[in-house]
Amino acid sequence: MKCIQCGTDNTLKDRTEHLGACKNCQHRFAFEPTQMPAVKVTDPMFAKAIADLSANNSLFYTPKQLLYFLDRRLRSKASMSKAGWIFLYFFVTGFFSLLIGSFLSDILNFSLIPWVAIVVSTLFVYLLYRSSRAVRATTKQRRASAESLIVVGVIILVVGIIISITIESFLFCAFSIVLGMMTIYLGRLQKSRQSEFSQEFLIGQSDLAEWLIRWQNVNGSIAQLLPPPNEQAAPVTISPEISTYSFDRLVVCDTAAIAQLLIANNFHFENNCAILSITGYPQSIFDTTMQMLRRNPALKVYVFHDCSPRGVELIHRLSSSERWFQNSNVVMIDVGLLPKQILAAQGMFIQSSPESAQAAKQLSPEVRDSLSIADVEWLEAGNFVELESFSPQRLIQVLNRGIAGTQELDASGSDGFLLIGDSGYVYSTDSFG
Amino acid sequence: MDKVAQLLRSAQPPQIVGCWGYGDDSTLEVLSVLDATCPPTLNSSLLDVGLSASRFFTEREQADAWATVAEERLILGRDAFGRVPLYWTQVEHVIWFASRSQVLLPLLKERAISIEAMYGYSCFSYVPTPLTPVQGINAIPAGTEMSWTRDEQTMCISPPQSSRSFEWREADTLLADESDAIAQLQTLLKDAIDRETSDLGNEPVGVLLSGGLDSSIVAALLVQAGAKVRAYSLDFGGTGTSEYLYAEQVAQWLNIPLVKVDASPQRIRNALIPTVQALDLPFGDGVTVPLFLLSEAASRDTRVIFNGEGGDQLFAGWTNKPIIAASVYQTHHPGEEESFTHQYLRTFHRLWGYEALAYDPKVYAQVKHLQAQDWLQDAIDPAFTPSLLSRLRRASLMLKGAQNIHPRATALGWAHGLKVRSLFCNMPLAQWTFGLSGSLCLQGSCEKYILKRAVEDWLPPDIVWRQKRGMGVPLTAWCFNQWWHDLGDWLNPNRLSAEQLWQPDLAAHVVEGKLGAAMAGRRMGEVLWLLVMWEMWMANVHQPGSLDPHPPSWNHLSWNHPFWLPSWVWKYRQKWKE
Repeated sequence: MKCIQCGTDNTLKDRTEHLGACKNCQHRFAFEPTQMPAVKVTDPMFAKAIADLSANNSLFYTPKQLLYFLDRRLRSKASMSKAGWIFLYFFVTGFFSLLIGSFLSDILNFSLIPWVAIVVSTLFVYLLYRSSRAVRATTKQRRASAESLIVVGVIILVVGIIISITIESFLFCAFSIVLGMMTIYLGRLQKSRQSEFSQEFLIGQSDLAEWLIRWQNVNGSIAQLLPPPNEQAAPVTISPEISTYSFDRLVVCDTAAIAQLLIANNFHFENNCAILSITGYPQSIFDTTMQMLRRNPALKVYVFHDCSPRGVELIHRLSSSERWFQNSNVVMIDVGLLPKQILAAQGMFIQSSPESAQAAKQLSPEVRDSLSIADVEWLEAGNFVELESFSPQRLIQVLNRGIAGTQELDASGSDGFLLIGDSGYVYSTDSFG
Repeated sequence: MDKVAQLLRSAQPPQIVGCWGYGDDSTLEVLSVLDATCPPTLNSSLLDVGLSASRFFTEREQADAWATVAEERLILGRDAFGRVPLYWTQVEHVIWFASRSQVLLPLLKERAISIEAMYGYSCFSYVPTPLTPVQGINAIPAGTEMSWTRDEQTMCISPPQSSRSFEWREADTLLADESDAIAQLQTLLKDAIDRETSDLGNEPVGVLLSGGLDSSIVAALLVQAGAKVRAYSLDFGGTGTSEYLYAEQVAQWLNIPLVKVDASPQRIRNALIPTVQALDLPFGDGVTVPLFLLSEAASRDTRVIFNGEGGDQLFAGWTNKPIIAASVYQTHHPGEEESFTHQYLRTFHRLWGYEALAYDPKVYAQVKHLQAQDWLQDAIDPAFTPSLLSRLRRASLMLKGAQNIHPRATALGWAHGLKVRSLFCNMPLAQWTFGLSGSLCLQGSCEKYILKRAVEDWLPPDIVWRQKRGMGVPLTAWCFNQWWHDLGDWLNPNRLSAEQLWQPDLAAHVVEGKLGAAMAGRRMGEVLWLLVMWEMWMANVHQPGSLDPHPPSWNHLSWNHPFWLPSWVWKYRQKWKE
């Protein structure tokens, strides 16, 4: 493992001899991968993850974003590509067929190698099928498994027919065709169902918390890592000469963490907008900011949310809440994550929970009417995708694009606005798609 | 006196040039003005000369820059709007001065770059006064007089004394009554245009019409004053935010002819070097070459052009809004609580904060000790302007206005022999705005509220009430398309390496997003353009011929950059890498 301070490579022996410090500069290592039971993390890997997530320390991020980011990095290290699966299939099938087949053939005095190959192939297909729906794998990994199933199916079909002709066995031919066709079908089925499968973290929040403590003990605090948002702050007074004015637009988030992230990264400064969460964050300036916003009759509200029951109903909550924009004609624009985007996209980190399923079933009729049947089914299965599964840079890009896109639409007089209920006009962007 | 003659020969009219002090054992006093209509002459009988952006040579009272000799004393001064620059250098016991810095360059023994000035340029896109990019040449700040005295006995001159001749300050009582303010403002605007058109007679005038509020007001007032007006507007050829349609709407409303000026990337590229030479100092904003093209087009029809520069500064244009947003969220920023100075500094959106990534290591070692906020302190001093909007107005007038917008507008107009008139550079009008309540300037989120109310009957409602976001020169789109290969020449790593000022791969790092997440989209084009303008200034003004402005020969070019690839190939490569 290389030292992050001087770049010197230290072997396990070096690290042990120097009591966990670099042999060259004596800088301590935060992690000792050989002593980590399941997931192994090295100092250079952790340092690079922090640098990459923060775009070279230029952006703030939440602990959960770090969790998602590390999880993705650790998975990609252990992932198997399509070519890898095919190679493994040939190796395993060839090796075991020859080994076991030859052994049995000698005992029974009858060539069983093709039949052993069929049995091994069946087991391999089962393994691939399991892998194509594994909850701890990424969508990309599961997709690779599903596509490998299709290729393996074709191989079983073609090679099986050729062998059955050679050994003149109708039964073998029938087995090969059934197994091959079934494997292709399973592969296609699993490939098309990827957006329905949920995913679990490879590492737990407690693992990350422990790693962060170790890292910060050695390397000091991580400047770009945000603390949990303080949602109990008492109101503060904003100078009247500032609160007299207003903002061009408002971004409402469904979590305080995302609002905090945007504020920390100066999104309000770059876009002259107010940023609030539906929970009222930042509580200390919430009322003053709302008063300022009400001074702009042409206010535009951009709604930025998770793909979850709570997220998709955010516009409805804003337009029906007295605290927000009940009986107001403000334009609300949905720039958040929607089920149709998840269903159309690849590689999203989809999670699932009974609570989310329950919340989906309690969605109001107005919100249900604004979604397709497939969207509702997806939500009712308990699925959800969090905005924090994206890097801060990506979130800012998407939000910028959402705002710029609607400004251009305004200028061109486009009719891309959809009417939802009677509360206002909503434009749905496909920025995440 | 040979030096004086040489100085006069190299200077282009209209200009003030001169020297004062003790030369070759005798008293030296030469002030001169250069007029296009007569040959350069030495005139030691002149004791007071003044130069004005809008009238060329004029009385001291109406001048934007002046030089005066009185009682063994030399005084050089500039007005508060900063329309005409003035530079000086000292060689032994002689003060040499000129209204263009290039004229003073031959007097220097060596032309060393001022790292401090270069840092200021990279933070603001202009060189903050009193610096200039060349060590030894100094600028007189706007609203300042500098004076030197002679000692006859020692035949030496004293160190310069600097004094503010004018301060922008908030009035003691603020006007909050809307109808009174509208009436007063209408009168002030009409008086201002009367002053600017009083000497015109039947002469046709041009107006640089962006389609925004300020230039449209100027056009409307000129028409009301009975001037023969011709408008000029830019056409970016389909890229960027087109303002031409708005300009057309105004021209139709006012019934004046409108000339569409082609500002395609090809034309911008061709006009780059003449623009840099005309500007004299490096100015890194994207509007400079388009404005050069506008002036060039106008000079075919007229001798006088009007612009709407200065309206944003006086009436709280949209650029004030980010500061207000930052002030609201100040206590929620996770970093240290940002001062007003830091917030203001961030509004420039250039290379401040990227020092370690932008400069050559040796330059960085010097730059990291500099504080860019020092150049702002005087302008944002709350002692003169207690309320927020007045402070922003003062800062905007003293910084972006007097050090960037107005001197560059004058230089670009003068390059084509045009007298440049700015309606909003009117002292009674400007001082009146310091007596306005903030809510009359920025009401809710409506910027320039009182100005809009005062002129709403003079212009189409769309023009008055639409939200403006500044002139959108599509620099990023041009950099990533039409100028892609040019960037490989203009900012070639070998060039940057030879200068030892910037990181050699800076341009590649900018386009690859290696400067951080905030350096994206339009910011990339702005920073690339900032660097291009600096390099062009180096090659064509500072050391003409030292760096060939045209593509260097093959063996001088480095190919270690992405710009030799077709831009679409590079974009695919980037996408694949991501």
